[in-house]
Amino acid sequence: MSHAPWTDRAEIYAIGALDGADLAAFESHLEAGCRICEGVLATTREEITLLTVDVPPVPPADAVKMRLLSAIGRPENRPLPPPKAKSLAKAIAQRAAPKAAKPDERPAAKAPAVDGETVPAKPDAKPAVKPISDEELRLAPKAPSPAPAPPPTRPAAPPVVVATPPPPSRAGWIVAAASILVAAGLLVGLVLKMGEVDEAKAELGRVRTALAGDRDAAQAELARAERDLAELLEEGESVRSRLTAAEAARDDARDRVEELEELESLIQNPGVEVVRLDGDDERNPDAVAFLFYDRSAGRGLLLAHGLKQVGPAQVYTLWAMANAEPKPIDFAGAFRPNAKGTATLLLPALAADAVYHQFAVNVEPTGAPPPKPSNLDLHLFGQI
Amino acid sequence: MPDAAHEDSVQLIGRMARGSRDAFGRFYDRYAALVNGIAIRMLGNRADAEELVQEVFLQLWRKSTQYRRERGSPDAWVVTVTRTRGIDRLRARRRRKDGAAAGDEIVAGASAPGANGLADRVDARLTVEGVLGVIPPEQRKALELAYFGGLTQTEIAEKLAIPLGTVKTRMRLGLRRLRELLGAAAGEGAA
Repeated sequence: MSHAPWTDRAEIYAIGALDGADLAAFESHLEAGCRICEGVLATTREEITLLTVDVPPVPPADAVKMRLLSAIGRPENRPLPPPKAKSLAKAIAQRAAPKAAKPDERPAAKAPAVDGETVPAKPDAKPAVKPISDEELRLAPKAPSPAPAPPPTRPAAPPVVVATPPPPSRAGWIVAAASILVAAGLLVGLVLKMGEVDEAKAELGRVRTALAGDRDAAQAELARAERDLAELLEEGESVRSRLTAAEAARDDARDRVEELEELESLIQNPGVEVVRLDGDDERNPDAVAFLFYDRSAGRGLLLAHGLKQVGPAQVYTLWAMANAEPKPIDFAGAFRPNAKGTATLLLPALAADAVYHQFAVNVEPTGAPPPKPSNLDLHLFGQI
Repeated sequence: MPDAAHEDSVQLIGRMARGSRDAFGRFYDRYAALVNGIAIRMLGNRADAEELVQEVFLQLWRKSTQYRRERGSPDAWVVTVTRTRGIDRLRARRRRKDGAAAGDEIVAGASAPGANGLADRVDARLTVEGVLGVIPPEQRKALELAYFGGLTQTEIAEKLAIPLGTVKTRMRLGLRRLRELLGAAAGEGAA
């Protein structure tokens, strides 16, 4: 099968216009991992950016920037973590880095960087410290230790790489004695270094304990924030739904006023005729409609109520017919009932002075109206 | 090949991801007028547009860590976020009120030279005359209703009272014309 139908959908998807069955099929296709369509999407998104070239740039008010700069400083607006989570070990190592590097300072959450920005700790930040092994502690160059260590007992700078006995030789006793002394010194040094290992382990334990405390505090903070957010969302939803209802009521009232004004204008015309359309006993038994028809001007207003709902892809369609031969049947407008089953239709301009005698309503698919009724299943009918 | 402004934008996004307020300020200065212009075109008034600008830049800031240059240019990223958030607002507005007239206001915007990085990449003559002016009106209408009006293909078919298949064809032909324009601009830029 050709891939063209998918790339066609990808283009319309990129512009945000795909819907219905096309959308569901394409999203399944995309989820299956189609690289071709991913490529088409990326390319089309770039191309449609060209549509903005004609948009006149309009600088927003200065206050917008001020509000934004204030907003991004709030903790809840921090940049989100990258999509791929770092490993726990790495994260712990990063958190531990400042303490391990300078145990006598409090760890800073953010380090100052150029031009005043703040840079969160990141994997390549020096002096990030990876978890320290015993071996590394043994062989690492000595760092200033936070623990008090009496200088007189500390070896000046033990050559840590000389941990093996001197090789056998033919040297004399003096040399042998010197070697023994050196070995003894090294032994003392090693014992002291073992003490540092313990010290470093203890420090690591303290860091881990502190991290666990931080994590618990952060989790508690997260739970609090989620609770606050849920409450605010609930409150916002309530306000939003009241606002929506109030706006809908206002719009309904406005529409009603407009209808009444139109109706008044029609009724005041002495030439207006009123046609009653009754619902079909089977298809739409509760429906009734009144058509206020100004024959001389070709204007009209249909008010209907008691209508059944139609499908999402259907509309009621009003047809105007005449008795004359050949009998013309003209499209006079399409409408959908509201939730209460009422509908108003301001007729489009019909031929002025046309001699329409009958009006009928059937159901047609949405979209362009057919030139003639596609079916004669009448839902409402009336005649002058 | 990415131009200098493009590279600079990529670097600003990288610094934003590391928490740079300075980079955010510069990124805002670069794109705010474009975002606001699109927002006005979509929403039809300055007050709503400025709310959208705030929403968009806050999202760009928070998601700066997720930007991947291999997935698209900074221009496309900014415009896509603006449209997505704008369409959310338009659809919410339409849910509140039957949007019989939705989309009408968004095609009435006057054509004027754009002042963004993309405009620099197209031929100056096209920019002055209005890029969309070279797309046949019926294709342009379908694209604009989707792009700025947030209408789906079915909604466009209903609004224009034309078959769904015609809408799809018009949109595809319009996109093809855009592609040709970009290709021509890239060719001239390289020449």
